[in-house]
Amino acid sequence: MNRAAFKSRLTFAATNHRPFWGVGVSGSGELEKALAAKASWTVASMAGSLDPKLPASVMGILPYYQANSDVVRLSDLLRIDNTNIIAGVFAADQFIVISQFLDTLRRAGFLAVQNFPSVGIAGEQFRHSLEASGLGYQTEVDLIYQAGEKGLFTSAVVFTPEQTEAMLSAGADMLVFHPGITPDGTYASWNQETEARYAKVARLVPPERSDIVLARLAFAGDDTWRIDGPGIQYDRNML
Amino acid sequence: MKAKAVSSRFRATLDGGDKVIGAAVGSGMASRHLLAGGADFLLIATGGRFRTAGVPSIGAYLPMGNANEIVLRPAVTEVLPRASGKPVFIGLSPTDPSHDWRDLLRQVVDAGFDGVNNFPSMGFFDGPLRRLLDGSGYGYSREVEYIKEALRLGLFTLPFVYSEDEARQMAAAGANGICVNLNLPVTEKTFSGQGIEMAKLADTFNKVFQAAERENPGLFRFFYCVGPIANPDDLDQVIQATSADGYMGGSIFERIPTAAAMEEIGSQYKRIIHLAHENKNLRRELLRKKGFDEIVGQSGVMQDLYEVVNKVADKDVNVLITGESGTGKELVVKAIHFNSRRFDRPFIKINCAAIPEALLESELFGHTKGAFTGAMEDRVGLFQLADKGTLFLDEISELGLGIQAKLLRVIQQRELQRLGSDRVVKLDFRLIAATNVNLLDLVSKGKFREDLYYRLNVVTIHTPALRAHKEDIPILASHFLRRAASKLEQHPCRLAPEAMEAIQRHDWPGNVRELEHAIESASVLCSDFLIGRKHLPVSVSNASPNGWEEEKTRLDAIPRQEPLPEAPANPSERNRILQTLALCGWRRGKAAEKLRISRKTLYNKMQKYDIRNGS
Repeated sequence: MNRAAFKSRLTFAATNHRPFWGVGVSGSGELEKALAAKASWTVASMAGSLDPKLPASVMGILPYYQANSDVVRLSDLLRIDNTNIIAGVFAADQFIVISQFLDTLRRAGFLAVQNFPSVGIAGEQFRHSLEASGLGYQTEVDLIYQAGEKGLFTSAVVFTPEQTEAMLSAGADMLVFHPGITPDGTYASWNQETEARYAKVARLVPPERSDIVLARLAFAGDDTWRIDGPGIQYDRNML
Repeated sequence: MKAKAVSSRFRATLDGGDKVIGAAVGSGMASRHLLAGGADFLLIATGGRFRTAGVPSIGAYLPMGNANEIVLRPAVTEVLPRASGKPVFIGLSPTDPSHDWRDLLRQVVDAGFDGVNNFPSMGFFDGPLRRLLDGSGYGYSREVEYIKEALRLGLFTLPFVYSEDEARQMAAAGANGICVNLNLPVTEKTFSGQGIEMAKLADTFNKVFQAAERENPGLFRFFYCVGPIANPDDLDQVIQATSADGYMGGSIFERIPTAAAMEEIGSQYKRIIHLAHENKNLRRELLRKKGFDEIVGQSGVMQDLYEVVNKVADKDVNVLITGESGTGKELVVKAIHFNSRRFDRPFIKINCAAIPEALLESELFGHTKGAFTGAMEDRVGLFQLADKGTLFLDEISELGLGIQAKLLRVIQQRELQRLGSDRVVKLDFRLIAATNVNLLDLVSKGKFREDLYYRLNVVTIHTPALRAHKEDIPILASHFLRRAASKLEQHPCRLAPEAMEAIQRHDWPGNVRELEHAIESASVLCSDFLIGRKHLPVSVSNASPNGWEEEKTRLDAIPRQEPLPEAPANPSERNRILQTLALCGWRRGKAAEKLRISRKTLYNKMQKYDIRNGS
């Protein structure tokens, strides 16, 4: 299977799978459960395994594990199924050369990558400091671009219209909208406000690019998927 | 040394009128040097390790490794052994889901640390993310619990606080001190985007200190050097405006000063290497010029000589120079050496006629102490001295047959044994020999070995007698007049027409050397710097060789020497100028200084070589 086939399969799933959903997996047991539950795609990352109390996209950016070396180890999952696993890559990692790391993932058998975890989950002064130090969201745009150049299917986690535009320019094959965190510190649910924000992101996809797969991140238990809406990527393995 | 001892130590420093300075380090090297520089305590935390790795310390908050695992081992193996008796604290994160923080504290006590703080701290996060973390059990409250436990174990505690509320919490928990950290990355430039100024910074610190003091008036008050504090002057402003007992710094000690210093020293060494290379090239250019500068003459005969020398110079072949005395054989040898690859290696000359045969072997091959009567110590021979360079054997015809045999062996095998030694010494030299005698004639008489002759004579260069290129006499005379003037420290003399005719008429049996001496002598004897015929040696002034009229006619027919055309553009000079300009950022004044030419000369050369910024 190659990028075109991966994309073709996922596009088919977006149109025909009911519901159309994906989930993070951090081991073979989780992958088998996800496949059995008919997940249309999975994201290999250890982020969800550290502590079930936190969403994987939040736990994932904390300094308690080595995101990228862990995902290389997860290439073992490809022996079970190599048709729908996306490698979650932490793009701001300063201890790898992204280009070489992508080659490593390709050699391991991965066909797709996603910028997960993403620093886009952070805001305020911490985020400002990250951007000022060169550890910001641009590293994730660069990741998506380079991965596409290497023939990998690319799934981009985006939070804002500006990030969406950047990722579309970088050639992302899939957009996964993250609703972020509410001001009072909870995972944003799917409601009128988040739907409106998603709509702004979705409108940026050119009409002729109906091949771009659309999805949104949701916390465990979110059952608001609609047939005319984007797919759902669960931000924690709730299986 | 634990909490009480550290407190006493800090108190003593403050009572002495000083502030307590802490260095947040990432390596043993930084520990050693910062303690030597006067730091009162060390904090080893993940941020320091990231700095040491060339990564911004904020990277310690991201998933590039487990923060506690990253810091523990180097803290024990690199920093503790370099403490020199001063307190060492370690920064740990109690919100790590992979480790029990109580276990971590026990490890810290067992390892011998004096204190702890909370790094990376959840207090560093802000906004909705911080509130989500707080609500999920990853809040600052866990760090307060951790500090309480550390106190119970007797460790000194100096937690980071990021707000007045956190300061109150830590003070209420009994922390020995607080260190206010405002979550601003240290940059070389003022963090102008935040509109933070020193006075505002100091004001913020003071408010946090006051919040803590209301809970615990006796705790130590520190701030962390962040944001706009990038040098000692900034720090002094803030210190003067706060009630701080001390400060702690990471990048301000470890990264900012060393980054600039390392870039500068790296650049200096690069320039030195580059300049050394340039110097070598320049020296070579000068030596090359020198090698030929001493050989004067533009006649066809001399042009042929130059051509042969040029062809032979960089080929590592033995050369035999033949020619009458005084024709410049040694000058030709030097020209060959300085234009060869061995130009910067030894040039050893031996006059075979000047050394008694009995001593010649020892001179050439060396001897060991006691090899013969009178050999009081080891002596390295001239062959060994010439290793990697050029060995010039002048008047080689004077070598006895016995020495000739040994010489042949050395030339063939490129090795020798010193007299009195069994040790074989390998040699790498280029041999040039000279003679004013017909060696083949000696060979036929059995006085010179034929096999040695052919070994020496891979290429023969013949230096012409002066009488064979009399058209060079005027230029030679001019050259020697300048040289005599320099030697006598006077204005150069001129040759009167009758003197010029006399020196051209003379056959110069002593060749160029005789001419040089005649000119020098005349320069001394003449009046008003004008050399007349009477000032020349009698043999010259009275010369009337046969066929002079024919010779004169021949010389008169040679076209007047036109000024030499301007030397063609020297590509190596163009490159040198380009490189120097690039090194100096195209500042012409600085480049001229480095090239040791005037600015005007540089501009002229830039025009000559069509050098422009960007070329």
